[in-house]
Amino acid sequence: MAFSEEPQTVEEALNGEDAKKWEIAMQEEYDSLVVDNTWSLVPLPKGRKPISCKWVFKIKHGVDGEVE
Amino acid sequence: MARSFTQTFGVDYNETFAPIAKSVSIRCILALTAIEDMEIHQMDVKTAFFNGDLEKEIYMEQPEGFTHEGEHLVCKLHKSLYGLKQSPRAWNQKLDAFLKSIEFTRSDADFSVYVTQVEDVKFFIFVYVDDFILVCNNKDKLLQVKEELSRKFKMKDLGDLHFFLGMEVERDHAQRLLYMNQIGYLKEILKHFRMEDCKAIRVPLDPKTMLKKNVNKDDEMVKVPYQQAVGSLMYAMLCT
Repeated sequence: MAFSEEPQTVEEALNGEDAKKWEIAMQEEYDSLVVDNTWSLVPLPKGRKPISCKWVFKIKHGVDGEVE
Repeated sequence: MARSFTQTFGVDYNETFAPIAKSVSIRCILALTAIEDMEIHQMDVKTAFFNGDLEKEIYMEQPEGFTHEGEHLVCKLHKSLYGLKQSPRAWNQKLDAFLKSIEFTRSDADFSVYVTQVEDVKFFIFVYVDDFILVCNNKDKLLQVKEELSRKFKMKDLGDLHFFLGMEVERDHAQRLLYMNQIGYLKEILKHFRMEDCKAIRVPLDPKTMLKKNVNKDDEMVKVPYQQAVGSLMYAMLCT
């Protein structure tokens, strides 16, 4: 269960107190997805509807409560 | 993560069932661990769901803030992502195939339990999505399996088991005892429901207590998330 204040949207993340940290975290996450070859960018085939996606922001704490 | 409510059955996904551990299994395994004084270690898999293979072609919009070459391109997924309906199943199938390839047998009674035994060496693996508990009475075998897992998946070795699913585990090897408690989890619940300063009271209630119908319940009850509170307590009750 996590109850701390985490941004709900990209807008909130990039305009809040920790904007810089979130920006770096997002870039790192995106880069790792690209490096792992998670997807390739293609034109959408006819008759298909793309599913949508969203960023999920989580502050992770270690066993000692410190932010990881 | 992908938004699963935008997926269409038959087009973007088929089967979605994935097994989840039964609390009675973990208690059995912990009891065995104590009686036979076995080693019990914990490992978790980093970004487990990325390991799953997709059976369907899935197209996803580009993530917000990282759109390339205009809006007309979409992401064709090669790997499973968090949030897809089939992600837990795809991951579980991958793991199941791997554990079977290293001579483990899945329990028919609980699909989250894997067992192998060669002569005196007994090994149990208990799977909770991406969290594993490894129980073995032989240190070398334990190390060997940990290495095999680490070669296959990105693993984090947490060493001796201390915390699992909100439970704290303490051991007394000399007496072959194992203690479980949920102090941390219960304190977290109290904090969540703003009851950390509450006074302890004995249960069951005095049988003479008369329960009265709450006449103005509409304004009183809505302030407390009772269903969530009862759910949290049920979980505590089931575990220890």
